[in-house]
Amino acid sequence: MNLELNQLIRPRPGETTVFFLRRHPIIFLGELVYVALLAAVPVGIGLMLVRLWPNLLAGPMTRPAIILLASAYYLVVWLFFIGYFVDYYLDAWVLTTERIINVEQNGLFSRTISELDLSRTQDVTSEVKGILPSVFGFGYVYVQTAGERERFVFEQVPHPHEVRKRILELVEADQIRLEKEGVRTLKMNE
Amino acid sequence: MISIPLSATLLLYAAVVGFFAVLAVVNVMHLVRYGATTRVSFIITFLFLAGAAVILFATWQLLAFTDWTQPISVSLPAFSFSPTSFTP
Repeated sequence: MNLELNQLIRPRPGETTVFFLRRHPIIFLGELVYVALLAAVPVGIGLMLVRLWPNLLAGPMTRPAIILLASAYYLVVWLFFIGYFVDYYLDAWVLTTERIINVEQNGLFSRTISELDLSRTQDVTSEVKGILPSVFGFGYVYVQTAGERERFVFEQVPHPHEVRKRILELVEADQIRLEKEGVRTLKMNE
Repeated sequence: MISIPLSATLLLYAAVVGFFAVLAVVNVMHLVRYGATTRVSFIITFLFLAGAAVILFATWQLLAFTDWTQPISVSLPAFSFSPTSFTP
């Protein structure tokens, strides 16, 4: 299920991945419906042309031209299919014992990776809004931080309320870890 | 009247196939580099390549008996300019 995490981030000593999130699969299915609609367009146009000009698809020149045009169109539609998948699959949120990492694929040649230390988390909000999100159980999780980037957003993730709870648990565990490390450092200095 | 062989359309199609091939390789490379070890991405990559093969094979089959040597004639609109007909 995981992205090749080591290629994108360098894990800190003692840091472990707790969970890994992608958008809800229904989002990708929605994009597949769009691809299917695009694929149906030439069929509709073809049926219309046959009705209007019955000899068009039998012409020695028009037939190959139409076939080549349709083939080129389907190749482009097929590129949409893989493009949507890459965009869906390479958008991910990784929660480790110390950080939240957001990997965002924007098209083919742009990727943004943001990191947030759990210790900087101030507030976590989950939201399920609308008919489809309520039916399929996906929504947004907003992580409010003290940093420059005010909000860290998990978009259209499954079970957002559970994700919020889990993040809060991790933040608490991280605070305890930091306190322990702080006590240990103080003792070593004494 | 301009006459070009029908096979010229194949050059345009080849350009589209080339464009498709470049973007397909880039997409698949993305998946291979960042997560193709998973079953889902393997299945989708396989589906994508199989779908592309089906499109290209179907095109080839449908065009198998086409005579690519026949000319496409494009007639340009004829116009003449006669200075005598010009009245300011």
